Amino acid sequence: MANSNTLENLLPIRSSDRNYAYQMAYVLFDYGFSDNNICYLVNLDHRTVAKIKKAYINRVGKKSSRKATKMPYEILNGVGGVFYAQMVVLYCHYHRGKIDDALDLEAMLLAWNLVTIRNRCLRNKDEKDTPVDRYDNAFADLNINNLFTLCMSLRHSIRAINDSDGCLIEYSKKRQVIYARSSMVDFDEADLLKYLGKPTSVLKIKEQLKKAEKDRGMTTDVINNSRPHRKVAPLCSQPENTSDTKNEMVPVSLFKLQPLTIQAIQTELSSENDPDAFTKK
Amino acid sequence: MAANTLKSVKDLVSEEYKNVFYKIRDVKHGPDEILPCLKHNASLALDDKLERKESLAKLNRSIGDLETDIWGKIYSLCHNDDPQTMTCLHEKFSLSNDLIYVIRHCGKNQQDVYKSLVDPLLSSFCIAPKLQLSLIDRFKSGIKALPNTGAASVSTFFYFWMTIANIVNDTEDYYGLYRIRLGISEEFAMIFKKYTPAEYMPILLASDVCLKLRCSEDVIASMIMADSNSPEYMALRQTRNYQLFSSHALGPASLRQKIAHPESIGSLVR
Repeated sequence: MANSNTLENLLPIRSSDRNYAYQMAYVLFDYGFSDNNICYLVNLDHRTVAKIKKAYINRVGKKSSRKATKMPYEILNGVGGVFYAQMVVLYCHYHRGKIDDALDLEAMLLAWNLVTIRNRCLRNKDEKDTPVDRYDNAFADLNINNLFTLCMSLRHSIRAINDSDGCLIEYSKKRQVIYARSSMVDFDEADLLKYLGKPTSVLKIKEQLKKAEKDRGMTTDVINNSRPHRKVAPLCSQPENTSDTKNEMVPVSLFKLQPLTIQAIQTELSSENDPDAFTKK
Repeated sequence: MAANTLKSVKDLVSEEYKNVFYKIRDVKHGPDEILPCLKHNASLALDDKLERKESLAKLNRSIGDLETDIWGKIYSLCHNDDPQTMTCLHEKFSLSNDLIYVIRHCGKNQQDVYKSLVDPLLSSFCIAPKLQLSLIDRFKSGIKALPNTGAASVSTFFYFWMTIANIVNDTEDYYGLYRIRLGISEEFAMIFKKYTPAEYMPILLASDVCLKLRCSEDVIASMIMADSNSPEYMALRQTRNYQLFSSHALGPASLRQKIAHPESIGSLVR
């Protein structure tokens, strides 16, 4: 991507407000937004957006592919849903206002960049031993317009008209993750989580290792002789309740996560000491 | 027949939703429907030279170094037969006996453990919330001269705190990503922005450092035992990503606090 393609070289400047809109349209084309979505985001007419797009493609030489708009159920119901769900959680966190009222384009772009950059770094295709996994194709097919659809579906104006398909934020107690899922009736809460790795309990792994050592005839080591220590729950977990396999649900699409505050930390500390805090008012 | 009926209902709903969605999207939006962009020099939407986007892609080497340092220390302590190292692992890193046992007996060398666990983008550990709070209070009460600490404790955590300070004060971090990278609060990060190293370092070095895992020990143990080239390992990494992002939001207890419309969250509200 040539960084020197600034807007001054492409279109004449008409007014300061329009200039910002043109500039934004250019940037959004680079991200891969569709023409219609850009018209909405920058409040320009289709003809002007088409001119900007033509100038962008001529200069950059990037072909745009037209893909049909997908709905939340289709976006989240697949391996790629793993990435979109992460993006939505981050979007909610970085949103600067009320999620149900307004769209925050900055938060959307930040969430998109954080997830795509992160996963691209983890993949690092230059390494010979990078495995090809089921996420690769899904990662290659990521489309920012799908994220746009999910973020739009969080807005009250859309859900009020038709709430049969939308984006919900939930917490899975089993996997200790906050994730996004479709509100479609037959969307199983585990449909997304099935694409996440299922960790084996550390206690079970320890027992397997002990058994292996015993089979090899090794002696008990210093670990077993150390004083007992209360298992400390990590920051994201709730008190263990292995008999309760039902996920804790937050069946609402409308919340805003604020940056960490003292109050939030204090609440977390009080819930750490109270095993039943999660079920209390 | 039932499956066909469900599929057709789904298509119907999808079609209806699309009509609604298109109607809203294809009309020019009102002034309050989209939040204004950030200032020109911070906005991603106006980033016509893509400099800020590239800055996000730039790996912060300090985090990779921090991760390597922490996991290296943990690995060494786990393989040390001195019982006092257990105390250190419990108190400084908040690790359970089970995870310590797994790290010690996993059969992998230190390099393999690094390969499994070191993350160059997000730190696996955060400074324990209790410590963050106590240090915030400590700085609020004013900076006073402290007695000289021993040379050993100065050197042990000096590099650690300097790395944290460097990450927080990274001039190319336009969006405050140090919060998600390190799992620290904004109030805690202000210590490194508001005070000079000469002011904050003596207090930080005198404190009892305690780190805490930001993801579950089950995931860490599973990642150590998995073949780092296997699909299962990649799936576990995604779970870890999710947990790190979720812990950034402090989990369900604080989530309940921040929900905009508590009357609609059903069973969570009592």
